[in-house]
Amino acid sequence: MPDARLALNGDWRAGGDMPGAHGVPIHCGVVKGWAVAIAMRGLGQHATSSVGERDGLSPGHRTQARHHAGDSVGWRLEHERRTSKPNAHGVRAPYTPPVNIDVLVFGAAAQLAQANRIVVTVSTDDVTARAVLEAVATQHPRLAAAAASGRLAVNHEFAQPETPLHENDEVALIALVGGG
Amino acid sequence: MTVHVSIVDGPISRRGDVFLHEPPLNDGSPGAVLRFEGLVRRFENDRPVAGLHYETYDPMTERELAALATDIVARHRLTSISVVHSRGHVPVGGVSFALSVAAPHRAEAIVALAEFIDRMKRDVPIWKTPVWAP
Repeated sequence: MPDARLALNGDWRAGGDMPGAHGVPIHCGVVKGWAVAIAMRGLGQHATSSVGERDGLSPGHRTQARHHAGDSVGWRLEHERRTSKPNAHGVRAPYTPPVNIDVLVFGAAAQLAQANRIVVTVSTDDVTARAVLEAVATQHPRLAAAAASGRLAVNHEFAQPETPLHENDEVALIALVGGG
Repeated sequence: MTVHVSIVDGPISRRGDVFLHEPPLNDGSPGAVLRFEGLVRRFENDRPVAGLHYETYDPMTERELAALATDIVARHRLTSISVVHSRGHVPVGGVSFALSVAAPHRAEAIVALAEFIDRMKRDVPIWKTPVWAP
């Protein structure tokens, strides 16, 4: 058996069918030498390639997984080779996939981003307003000035830098404002 | 002390959406009333515009306007403040922002009006985008 475990939204799971987008189950089969994490939102090429590499997936499951991979609001399939070894107690360091966060942008920032919504990735260890602002600046360089001068709103309220973010929070970059 | 804040779609009525929300000003409390209207200019950085498009983030925008108005009333001991801001397209010459402040003395009213506008432009989530003239 290869050294692999499965995670869904950051939690270890047993293999088998899991609820997917639109209520369609996604089957998580065995992956040779790979740990597979499935998290909401955003999809990349990893999804299709690792789906193709999976063992234990029926053709139907592969098609379904690819369907989700092409869905802009579907599931992301990420994979990471696990090289860490268990410690003396047999405990392996937990796999903590990065967190993708949608950030609403407006006005001139939206024009710079050419979108009303951007996605940033932050570490699970630091899911705060400050981390998101920093991620906006580094991952979307066109918005660096907006992030530097702006503030983050969480659920329609200005957030302090250390404010932790939670699942389903609505996050917005409030920058380059100018009413009147 | 009374505070009124609202956001309207399109230009604000020149008849005075904001003034409709003023409390009675003849009860002897205020000694000064200042009314301000912001209009859309024909030129933005020397380039002609057809109008401005105002974007708000509802309901945060109205909430922040109300918080700012409440703070201004308290800081300057106003008797009332009424704020109306536009959302969406406002053509050249249209009123996009109207503000009325009333205070016992003119000095507080003048300072309060200027401070409200400065802070609104800096802090309140309202964005305007020029709609260039063809």
